[in-house]
Amino acid sequence: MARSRRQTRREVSEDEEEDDSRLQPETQGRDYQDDQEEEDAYGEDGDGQGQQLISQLAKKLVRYALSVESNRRAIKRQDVNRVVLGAHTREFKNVFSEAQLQLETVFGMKMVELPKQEKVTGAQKRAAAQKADKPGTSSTNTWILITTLDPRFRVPSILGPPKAPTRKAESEYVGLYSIIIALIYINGGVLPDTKLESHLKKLNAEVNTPIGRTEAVLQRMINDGYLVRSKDSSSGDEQIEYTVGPRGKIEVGEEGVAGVIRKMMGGQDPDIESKIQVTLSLNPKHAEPAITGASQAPKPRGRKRTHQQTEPEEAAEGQEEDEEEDEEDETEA
Amino acid sequence: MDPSYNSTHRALLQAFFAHTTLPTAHLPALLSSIHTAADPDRPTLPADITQPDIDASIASVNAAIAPFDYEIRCVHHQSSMSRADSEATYVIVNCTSDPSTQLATRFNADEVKFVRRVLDLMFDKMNFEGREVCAVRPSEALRVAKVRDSVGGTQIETLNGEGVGGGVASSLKLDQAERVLEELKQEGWLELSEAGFLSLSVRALAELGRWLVEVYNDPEAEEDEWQRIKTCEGCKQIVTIVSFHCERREQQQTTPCYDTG
Repeated sequence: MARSRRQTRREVSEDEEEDDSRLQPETQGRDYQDDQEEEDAYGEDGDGQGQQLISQLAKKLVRYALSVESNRRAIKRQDVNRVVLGAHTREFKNVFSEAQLQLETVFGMKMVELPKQEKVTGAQKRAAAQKADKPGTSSTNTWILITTLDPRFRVPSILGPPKAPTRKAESEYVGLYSIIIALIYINGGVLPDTKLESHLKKLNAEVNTPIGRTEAVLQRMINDGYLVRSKDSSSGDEQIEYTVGPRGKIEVGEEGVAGVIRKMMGGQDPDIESKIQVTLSLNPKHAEPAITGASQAPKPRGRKRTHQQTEPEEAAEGQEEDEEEDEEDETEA
Repeated sequence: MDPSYNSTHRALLQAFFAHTTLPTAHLPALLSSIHTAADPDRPTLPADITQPDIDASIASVNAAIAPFDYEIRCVHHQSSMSRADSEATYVIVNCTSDPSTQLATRFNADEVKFVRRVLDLMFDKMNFEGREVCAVRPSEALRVAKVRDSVGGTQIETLNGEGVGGGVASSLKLDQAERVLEELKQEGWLELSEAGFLSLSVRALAELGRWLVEVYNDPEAEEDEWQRIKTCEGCKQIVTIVSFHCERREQQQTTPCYDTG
């Protein structure tokens, strides 16, 4: 208890030395906070220490989240318990909310829960229906880190694609998964592999891409959570299908897809906005933007596949032509 | 927290996370884009951004991220003879990092151990009193792709007292090792000199400096004793291109950066 008080005092004085110019408002704010903390500490023995423990663990969690995200891995509760919390796993909730606060105020980021994997095949749906009765399965306990900055800041001159391994390779990867995710959304949320292959063929990317062999790149997208590959054998023959993965839903989502379409078709088609509306709202169950809807996991998109054959098909065809042009532009440049 | 800390600082911080290193010359354009985004009605031009603006923004960010052991540092390339602000590079540094935590996210365990063997080659085998190379030719680095006791193993264990990250290291295939080196180069951890030597980049030195000193230097050495990792007397940055000190010693009056070696 006494230690924690000394600690906060020392922090204050260090800050004063560091930062004389903005001393006034800051120290006032801090003093108030300190008083509060001290009161708490006096009130109950060990409470101050508990607070300190939580803020320490929260910092560890923030660092963990940043390092995990830099490699597009998800933050899993199990790993957090093991790597960050150690013996204090029952503090998870407190530590998590404190870390969330720190991420938002200092870094302008937050952890968003990944939506549940949608059930594509009949067997998965049946399993899900059985599970649905059980309480406490609503959370995936998996999060990714996203920026909370205003979209105005999310422009290439400020936040370009990360340099991992290089800016160019990263941009190419982002471009490829954005297009594939767009194709899946336009196709009604599910894309059979034969169709994906024919789309990729039109992009001249069915065997190789600028960042490696197509198969390896698709596998990377699956590992990173942009795509999900599943087998559906309900109709007799086995069919491989692609759906949008949890990270894809949050990072790209419908807003991102609309952006891709706008960029590609923009200027050519005055009705583009209404067409985007029609195309994307054909999936009524995920009409809201993915980011805000992330905490309540979107419901499984159990679409009957007969609906897909109409409008989105045309839109997809139109878009492909554009993609081809784009691709050519890139290679020329 | 500083009440003036706002979205512009957060955007600057995220830009650093995305870029990791930014030359001073890029900062006016970056900051002006950020300020324009924050206040679109009053566009800010790169020319409006002064060095004190840059310093103030970075100081605010640093004050906010210090508790998380991150820091934006202003560093100069050790071979650069000028210490002017315009020649500096800003690097975001994870202050408590070592190669295994830094690389563990991108490379598998065997690859990380290979990088450790390359570092040992740089700072142990190729770095002794009177011939402080602190760099390797790519061909020499690839030779440690294969685990051999005579090259690393036994010597390393006595050096660190802990072995190479625990567990038995397996050899890397040559093309795998080549890919690791290539990625490290592309990500700006290693740089290849004109003479064909791989050495640690500004960013790697800023990030791994503390770890290098801990691992390769003898903490109980006398003050004047030869140490593997040397720091500049003037600016406290790590110096690995020791041959420079000969030239610099004669210029001590004009250049602030010279070596203790």
